[in-house]
Amino acid sequence: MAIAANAFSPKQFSFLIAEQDDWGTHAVDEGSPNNDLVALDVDSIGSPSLGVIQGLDVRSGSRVLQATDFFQDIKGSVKEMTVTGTATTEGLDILLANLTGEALAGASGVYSIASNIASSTLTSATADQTGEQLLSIVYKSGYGTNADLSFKDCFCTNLVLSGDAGTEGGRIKFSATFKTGSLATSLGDATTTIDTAITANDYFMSAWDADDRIIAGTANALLFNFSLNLTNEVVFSGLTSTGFEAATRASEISATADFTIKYDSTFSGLFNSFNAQTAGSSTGATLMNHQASLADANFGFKMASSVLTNVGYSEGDMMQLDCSVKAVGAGIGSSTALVEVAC
Amino acid sequence: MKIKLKDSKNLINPSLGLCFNPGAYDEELINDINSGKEVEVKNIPINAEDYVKIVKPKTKKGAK
Repeated sequence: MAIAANAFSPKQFSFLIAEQDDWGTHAVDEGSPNNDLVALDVDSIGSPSLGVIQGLDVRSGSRVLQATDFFQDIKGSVKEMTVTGTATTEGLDILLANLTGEALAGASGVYSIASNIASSTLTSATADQTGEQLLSIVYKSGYGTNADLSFKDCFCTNLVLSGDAGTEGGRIKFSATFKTGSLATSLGDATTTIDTAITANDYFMSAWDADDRIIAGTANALLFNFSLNLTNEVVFSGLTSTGFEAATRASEISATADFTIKYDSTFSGLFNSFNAQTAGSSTGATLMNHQASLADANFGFKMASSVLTNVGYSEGDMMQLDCSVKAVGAGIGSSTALVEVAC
Repeated sequence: MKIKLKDSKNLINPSLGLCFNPGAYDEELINDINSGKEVEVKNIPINAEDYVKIVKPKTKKGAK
């Protein structure tokens, strides 16, 4: 066999996601309707962590790892994928719908997590979901023949949305982590078709209005950068020949945000606010938006109640403040949103 | 303690989500304060000190 006279740029690879209706069935194989595979605008394609379980211990009777000693299993592994890139409408809608548990169709561009959100479990019996809380993921290879890496039954467990006034004009970036406990659909999949290519529907932190840039109850923050961190972990259980047969989101679902802002007369009191917070009480709202209320097609987020978790000087060309907040709920029986994100 | 607005022209912006009692933001309370009512609260957040003042209890004539 001759050597291959082809090579590929990492940029020829794509990262695709799609909402998946039925547990165990990849989105492109679901028949009618097939959900669109949407290309995320990723900086680099990265590589999935297959979580292959191996045993390389030498068995008794030999000083050498014999071929018969080698053990490998893939059924009991959790596959993890992380990508970073630019947040565009089509992809961000799917990510937020999956992480918050709010159906894409019903959210109207504003995704919220209620203070009294319940745990949720999807199983191998899950089919024809209306909320579509499963994702299919494809690493589309630059080589077009039987080389795509396809995963099913995936969950977005962490989403970080960030922006830096000094980078790309404050364009909103994302980092997302996905997990699946099911066997990979195929690591040599035939050529996958991109249904929705990357668009130019970007978001910018420059869209936010001064009096709607609020950190724990103090408005008019001048931001250098920010990051919003949303976490909703998943735990897999029930080992079968096709992987785990149940996935549960039951641990803490949280929203935190970090900011670097200009130190000025408005925010000089932030140390005092941090130090004087009252136990058992919210310190104030955190809002980053173009207006008081979130709206479809405009990126922004709101924590109706939040507490400061850190305040510190940050020395730059001018004095800055690093500060962090965490969203707090309105009570275990309250449907008031813990956090809302619009895009 | 009882509090009320310092200046009826300087209302508390509801978007700030200021919290005067244990728990989370209470929009109804902010509406009451902004409408000029005297309200009973547990604490005054630092951010709210520019907006509200404590109402001192009225003393009866002749009381020591």
